[in-house]
Amino acid sequence: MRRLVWTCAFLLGAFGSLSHGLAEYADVVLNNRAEQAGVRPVVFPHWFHRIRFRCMVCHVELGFEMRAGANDVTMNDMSAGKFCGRCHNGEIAWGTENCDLCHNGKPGLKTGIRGGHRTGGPGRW
Amino acid sequence: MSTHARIRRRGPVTLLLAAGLISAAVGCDIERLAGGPADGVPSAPAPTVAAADRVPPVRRSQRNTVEVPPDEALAKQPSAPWRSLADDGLHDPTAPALGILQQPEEALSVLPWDSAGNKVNWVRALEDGHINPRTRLYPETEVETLNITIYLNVGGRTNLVRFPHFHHTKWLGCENCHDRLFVDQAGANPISMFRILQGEDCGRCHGAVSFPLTECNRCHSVPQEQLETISRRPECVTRKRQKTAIVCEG
Repeated sequence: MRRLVWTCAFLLGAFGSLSHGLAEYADVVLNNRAEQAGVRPVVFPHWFHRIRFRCMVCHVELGFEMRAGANDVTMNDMSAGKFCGRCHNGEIAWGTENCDLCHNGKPGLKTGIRGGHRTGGPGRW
Repeated sequence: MSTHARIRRRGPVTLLLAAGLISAAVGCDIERLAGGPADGVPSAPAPTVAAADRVPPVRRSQRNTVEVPPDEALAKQPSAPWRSLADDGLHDPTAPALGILQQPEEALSVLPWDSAGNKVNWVRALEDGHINPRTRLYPETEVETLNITIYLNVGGRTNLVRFPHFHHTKWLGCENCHDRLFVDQAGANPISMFRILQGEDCGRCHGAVSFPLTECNRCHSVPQEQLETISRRPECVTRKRQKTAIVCEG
């Protein structure tokens, strides 16, 4: 039994060391709806946004839940000025008509947070 | 066999498995975590003069006299660790607009270095004025910082967790954590590394977007020996709930 435990621990460690993300830490893939609608998944770069906005702007003011994939955001919401559309309106940032600027992920990616640094954190589980 | 007997029998195995999972997942040196002062710890190479010049030390509150481990993140790595967007495994290299987007290296290489995550010390980047992210979109949104530090005793020989509200409220609003993730009573939350590794509690951000869970001593930063000293400070109050927490002004 003890051998099994250590084997599990070793395998998990080995898996962890192999699963280093190539992507930038905290990149979020959004693909709950995108590919079903015929566009590439969205890759949301946290690093880019946190240089310009503090966490609370999106996670308090815009109402984004702090869990990748937990926000059911539609293009209609954005056109109505909600979620990403509050800034991506052609004034603060590019407007939603520039599909390819956000929808630029590889086809087939699953929704989740990426770019783990040794631990993938929630993204691994 | 009764349920109790079964639990008793399997208890140690479960515990061992849990410890193995956690240590394997975090890659954390348990001895280091429990070993108190960090001065015996083999750390990253000493920062060069150039690196030290680039990254001035964090200004700490004068009232905060607790020793925290030396920042291991000062050493600048020679090679740029940031992948280009076309080569990061997420972006589609054939996506038509990829060339328009800013590359991580362009934005991140000019910010204070860190050894983990985005390789950026975001707290220092903000507090030293390298970046000035907007705090709100709506004028009616209240923005406030809270200068209260909590020292959480997680038991055993494990270092106390030092939680500075100040650095967190520079980025987050109160409602991001209270009371969704934590009730606002120090020591009353059932925080555990097992939960954190599953993305609960502190793991909502740490391990996902804030510095990762490999950086044990950044949170577990205060040796047990300092518990008494801190609790006797006039600005500190000790709260004994599920865990013992010392709440200090400043």
